Amino acid sequence: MLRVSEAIKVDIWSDVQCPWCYIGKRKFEDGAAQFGGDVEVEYHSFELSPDTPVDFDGNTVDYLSQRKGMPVAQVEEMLERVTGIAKDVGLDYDFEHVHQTNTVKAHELLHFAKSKGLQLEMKERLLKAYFVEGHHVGRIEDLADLAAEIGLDRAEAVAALEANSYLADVKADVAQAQAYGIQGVPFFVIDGKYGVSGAQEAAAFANVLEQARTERDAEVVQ
Amino acid sequence: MTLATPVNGLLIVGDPAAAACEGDFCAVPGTATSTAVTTPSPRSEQAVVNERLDADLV
Repeated sequence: MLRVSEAIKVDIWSDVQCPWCYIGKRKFEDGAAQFGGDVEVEYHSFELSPDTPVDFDGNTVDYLSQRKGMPVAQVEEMLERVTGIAKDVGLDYDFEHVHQTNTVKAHELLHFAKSKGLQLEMKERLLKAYFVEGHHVGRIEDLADLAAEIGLDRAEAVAALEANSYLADVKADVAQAQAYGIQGVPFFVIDGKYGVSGAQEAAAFANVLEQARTERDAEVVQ
Repeated sequence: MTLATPVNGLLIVGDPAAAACEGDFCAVPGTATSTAVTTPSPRSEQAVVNERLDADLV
């Protein structure tokens, strides 16, 4: 008996402070549009730098030059290139005003938003706040403002973050990433079967989504 | 589409050199920084090997 195909599930591991995650998000969205079928996206937490203090005193240049020992000129050149690549997908990165911070609370907020059906909106708002608008995304009060902007209850968001209500969900995502062997982000798991690492070109995402749909259709025929 | 060796239940596809962030650093492909401060993951190396095998380059 034929059955209507369900949406193809895409699980995405990502961090709010990952420049390639935002660029990869845009490329994935472009690829999904090229694919044209139904896609269900769920974001998962990945902490690139869990030891970063919430109130690191400096921007990305300061962070990389201090923490990685890279010459400032080299960091600036690297960020200039990333900014150019971001521009190509319509994103205006402003690394000069980025507030380098710990993102665990932002990840908790994403899980809170997921519980309210607004995870995708929250993800986009957080990435834009961090890379484009220079907002702080590590402090509860700042995060709650962003949550309220997309329609979440501000007081409820504050209470959830203060109580660490979704910390276990963040850690579960990180553990699942380790189980998959994920070492970098963004990382896309398509239909629980294919793994796609990095900010691939849109066509690569379209191809793997089409492959997943073809296999689904073959199963339906059988 | 490149199909690589299954990694923990996943088939890794796509360009293994696509830009990504590992640890607390995000390398820029094609620059000195991409090789100076990051180490390719075993998965990525395997993907490259498989791609070459697919293309009969080795």
